[in-house]
Amino acid sequence: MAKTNSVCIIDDDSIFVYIAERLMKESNFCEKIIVFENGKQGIEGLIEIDKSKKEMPSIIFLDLSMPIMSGWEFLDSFANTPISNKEDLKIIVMSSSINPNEIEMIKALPMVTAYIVKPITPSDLEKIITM
Amino acid sequence: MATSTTAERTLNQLLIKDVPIPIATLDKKLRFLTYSQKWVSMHGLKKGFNGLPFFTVMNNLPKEFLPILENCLQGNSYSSKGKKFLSKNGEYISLKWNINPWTIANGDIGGLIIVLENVTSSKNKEESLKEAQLLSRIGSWEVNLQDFKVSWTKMVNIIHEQPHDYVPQTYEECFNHFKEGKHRDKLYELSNLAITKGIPWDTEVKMITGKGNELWVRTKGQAVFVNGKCVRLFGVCQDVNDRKIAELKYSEQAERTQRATAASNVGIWEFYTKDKFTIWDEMCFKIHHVDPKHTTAYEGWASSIHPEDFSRVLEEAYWLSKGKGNGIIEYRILLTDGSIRHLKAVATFVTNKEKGNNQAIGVITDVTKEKESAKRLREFSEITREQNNSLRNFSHMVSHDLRSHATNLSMVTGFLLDEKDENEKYKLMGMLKEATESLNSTVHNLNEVVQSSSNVYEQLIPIELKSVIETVINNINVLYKEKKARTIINIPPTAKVLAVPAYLDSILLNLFTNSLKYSATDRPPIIEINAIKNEKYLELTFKDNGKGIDLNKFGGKIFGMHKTFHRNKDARGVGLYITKNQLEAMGGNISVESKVDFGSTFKLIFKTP
Repeated sequence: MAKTNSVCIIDDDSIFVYIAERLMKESNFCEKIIVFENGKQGIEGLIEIDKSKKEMPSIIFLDLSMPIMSGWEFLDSFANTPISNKEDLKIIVMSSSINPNEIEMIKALPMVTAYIVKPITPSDLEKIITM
Repeated sequence: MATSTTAERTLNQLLIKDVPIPIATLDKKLRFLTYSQKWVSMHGLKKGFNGLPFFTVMNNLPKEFLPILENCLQGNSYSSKGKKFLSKNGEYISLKWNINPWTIANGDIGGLIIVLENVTSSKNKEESLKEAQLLSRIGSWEVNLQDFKVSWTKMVNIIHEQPHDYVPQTYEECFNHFKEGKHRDKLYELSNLAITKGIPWDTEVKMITGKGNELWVRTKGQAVFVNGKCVRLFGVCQDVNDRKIAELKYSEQAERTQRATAASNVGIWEFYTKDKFTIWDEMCFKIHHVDPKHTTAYEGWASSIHPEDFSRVLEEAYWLSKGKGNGIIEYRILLTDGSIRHLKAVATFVTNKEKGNNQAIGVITDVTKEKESAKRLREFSEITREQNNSLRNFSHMVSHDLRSHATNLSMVTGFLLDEKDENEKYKLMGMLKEATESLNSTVHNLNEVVQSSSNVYEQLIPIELKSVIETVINNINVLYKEKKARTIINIPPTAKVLAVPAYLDSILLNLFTNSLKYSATDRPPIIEINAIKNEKYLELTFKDNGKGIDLNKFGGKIFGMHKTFHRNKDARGVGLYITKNQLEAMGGNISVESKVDFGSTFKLIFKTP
């Protein structure tokens, strides 16, 4: 039995996505993983899922640095998008950035559950599930 | 009535006549019996007043004198060592007297014996001369040139700090008291001129006193000639040390002040608020670039001050006169050649309440240099701040990118070692290559950033812009065709810019790939390139019809290093940041205008040959 049903990864780094998927599968973290390449795809995809009444992912892993629509823009746009039960969604921001200003800014956002410095590790996943 | 005999009287007269004091005898009715020669000369009388009443003869004596005489006729003696009276002709006179009654045989009072001295003139003149000589410390001297005997007054010895009985024994010795060198030489020369040509001297020189002190004296001298031959030199010697030292000190200070103000270019001014009367020193005129021959100070000020500053300065001066502000007023002046200088005045107000007049006094200096260097300093610190910021961003970005590539590499390698499935192994190998290439590209970009920041001025060469643009379009042929893009180039083939070839390629490539990458989904990209050339620069506009950039959101960051490092395959590294850096390194710059859904226009400035 997986720990959670469906998660979503929004990241343009295909290698990181592969690594994350593999970790999640090995640790039986979830049943299903949806991947979007950038913020724009992410927003559009989530609206689509909501509209078609499919199962909403319970956790979103969000990268910050992406072309077309960055993680920041995604967060902005997500806050203004009508998606049912948004509050139940956990958003985990991931980045390779160790810029203290950036980390502060992210932690200040109420809709962000946690910030993870890449790479993601099995113990990160353990923590996230208990959040 | 006197009972003395005629013989007695005659004897008395003879005796008294030659007494060397002003003495007279009177009878009881105060008529002259006898008087001395001295009496006559002292009181300015004419002989032959025997038998005449005292007050008829001595008609100048005040009337206060009558009761004195009457009192003495009662048998009293009365003397005074000097008393001042207002004489009948209105002058003060000082009298000194001694009055005694004389008695006849039976003991009755026969009359008076009066010694009356007029001490008016002698006392005043002598004493004031003495006092004056003492106060002014003037001594007189004389040299007899026939036997070279010297004589001088005590004061000369006091001035010379010599024993009171000292007198030089030889002519030479007179000069030994003057300080050796120019002072002594001067005296030799002057006395020589007096002896040979009869020219008197009056000069101030230093002497050395008997106690070895240096002293300034004024010496005056002149020669006396007998039959065309100089026989005598005489003159005065005055101690002028205190005055001379003060004078020298003052002139030294005045000179120092003048030198200081001249060197520091400080002007000194005065201003009266009531009638705007203004006084400027020479430096004020110079600082304001106004000719004192053609205008008054106030007119000069009003005509030279920058029109935008005129009313402000008057207002600040008004507040200053009310005791507000820090006393510093700065303003600009506009020179005839159109250039601007910055002046700084420091003012103090002196209020004269009675006259309702405020007087301001102060100094003024030209602070243009300071202003300019302060401005340069601000600009410099702004540049430094900017560079600091971008360096910090740069370091964060480097760390971010290197970390992400390194992490990926290490994770993928880890998986690869454990993987048994051949298909999965193959997939991981592909990722390993991808991650390695990304790392490589990042390092390449870092190189470009570092290099574009260094000085490349010497490497600038003239390049034909149009042909470079065409080459770049050729290089991105595949993407260009895929997007169905079109480019309109409105640049004459001969237009040249000063650039580093590699930078120019990189800049244009960046702009093209950006336009193609962020092209609108509903229309093919159309790029329009125009060039305007002016004297020193060429302005290139690069306009597309793409998605545009929300400048309200990104305006300040678009050329910064934020969000510029993308890992996606076609991202040209740090993009606009590198473009900006490369342009600035070549002495140009870049700006952008954009409207979301309509497109972006980049404006690039290049130096031209």
